[in-house]
Amino acid sequence: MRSRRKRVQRVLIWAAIAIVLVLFTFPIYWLFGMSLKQNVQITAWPPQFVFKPTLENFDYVLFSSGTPYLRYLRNSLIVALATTAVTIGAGALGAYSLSRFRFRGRTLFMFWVLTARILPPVAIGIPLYLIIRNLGWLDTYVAVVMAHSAFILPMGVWIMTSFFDTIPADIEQAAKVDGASPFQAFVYIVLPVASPGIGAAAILAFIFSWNEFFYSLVLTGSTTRTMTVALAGFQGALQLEWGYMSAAAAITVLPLFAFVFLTQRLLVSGLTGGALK
Amino acid sequence: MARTTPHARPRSARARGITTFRRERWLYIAFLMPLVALLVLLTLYPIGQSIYTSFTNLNLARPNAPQLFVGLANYRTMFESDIFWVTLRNTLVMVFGAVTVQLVLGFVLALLLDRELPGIGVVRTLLLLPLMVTPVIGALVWSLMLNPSTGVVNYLLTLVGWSNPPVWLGSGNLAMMSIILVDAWQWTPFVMLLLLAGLQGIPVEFYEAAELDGASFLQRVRHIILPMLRPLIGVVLLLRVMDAFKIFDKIYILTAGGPGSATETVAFHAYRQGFGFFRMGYASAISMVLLVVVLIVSIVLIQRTQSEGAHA
Repeated sequence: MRSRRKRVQRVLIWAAIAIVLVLFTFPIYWLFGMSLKQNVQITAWPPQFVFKPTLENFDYVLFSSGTPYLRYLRNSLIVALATTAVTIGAGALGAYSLSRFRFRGRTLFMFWVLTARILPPVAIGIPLYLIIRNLGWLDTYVAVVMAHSAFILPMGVWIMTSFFDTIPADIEQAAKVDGASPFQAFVYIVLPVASPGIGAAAILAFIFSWNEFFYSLVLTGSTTRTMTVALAGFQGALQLEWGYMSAAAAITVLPLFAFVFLTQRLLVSGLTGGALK
Repeated sequence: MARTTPHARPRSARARGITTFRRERWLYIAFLMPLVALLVLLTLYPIGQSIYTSFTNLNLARPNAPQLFVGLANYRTMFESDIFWVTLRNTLVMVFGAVTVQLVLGFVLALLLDRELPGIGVVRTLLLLPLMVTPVIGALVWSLMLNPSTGVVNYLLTLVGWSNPPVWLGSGNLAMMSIILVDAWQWTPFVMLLLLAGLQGIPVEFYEAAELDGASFLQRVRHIILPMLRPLIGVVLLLRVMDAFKIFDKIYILTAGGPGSATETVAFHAYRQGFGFFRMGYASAISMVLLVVVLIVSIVLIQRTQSEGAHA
């Protein structure tokens, strides 16, 4: 009797899990489905769930001579890598210092870092646009990377500070007793131990920059346009282009999914790092 | 903030073995400098510039007109315009709606997945995928799926017997609800992830004791799980509220603020005034008010989280 009740319960739980899974992954399935359809199939009524896949869209997006998508991808990649470099470069040093160095106003400084992360993008975007316009830097990579760093750098500092906090200061002290300078202790002792935390921050910095839309929208132009801005331009576009759009979108999302499957532990520790520690 | 910030931990620096020598001091200061410089350049300076601009009549559509100081005129115009109050209300509805749905659903999902079943790891991984989808792309896919004449959502609804399914993005309340649901699709997995980690941190003994007492599932949720997770829920709430204020891509793609102004938030309003009508002075004023609202809400939430963390 009891075991039968248990079995029913188990079936119900799996049914619930299956429903949840379908609801949350369906749009992703639909995106990849569209990217493998011809345009007539995308707009077909009733919608086609089973169809003969074609790679035409990917072929056009990646290999046709006139494709603009490779440029968008390259721009997104340049911006995301540069933003990651700024975040890790300035962020790891700053985070280490914040973790070890007690100074007056440190609490206030940490609060500043936190608020920098929550500032509404328009509040930064409008003045940044004006400043960059005055400098004549609109449609340059530097402009977009600066804007992305404005919110990604504080996020990275937050994550890395909590990681450095988990590393006992004893290990540097030990190195210094052995004659290492503080800088050497940082480079040779602390950095290797902190590399998972720095890796998590780097992955998240890359993802946030790669996915960013607002700053890219107002700061990029024809030469630096990133993928998100290009894709948003499809809103209300001719149905002829939906196939290309979904293929380009699928290519944009795939590396992010690779992160989920390959570096899940790091990713989760970064996402939860600031919150759970 | 108590549980989230490293500096608020009870252990003092000295207790953690930190003693600062002069040599190290200089290293720490040097390490801090690039960060301070960038933060000043990228946050303080733009905000200062924006406060200044908000007191001027800067309009990029009239490049030759002088930029004049107009005092509080922009702020007066804003507070006297109906549309500003509408967008403020929309913002609050969107933040409240999105965060509520995500917290409730995320909690239920965490409870559902907090068990040892074969294959549960794969399920958890798959549920993380929406979190990774580029927001613009998620919104585009949803806008195609919600299309009233060609979209798959309404097709499926007619299949299950809803003969006249709604035009999702076409009417005010439904459009707002659609944006909230799309945001929930993306971010509920994040809430689930954090709460699941919290659930797994509850010692087994608590459950065993409850089982001995014959507590039902709901009693366990109410008397063990919710009190134990309270500080964590506070942190998740804070993170989600701060992010929900930033929703922009989804509005831009799904509704562009419409129909009418039904889904136009303060941020979107400022964007339209600044980059649509080039009224940069006015747009700056709007964005500064938004900044103040976000800061006040965040500080209130941070303080609540902090005091709850202390009680827990």
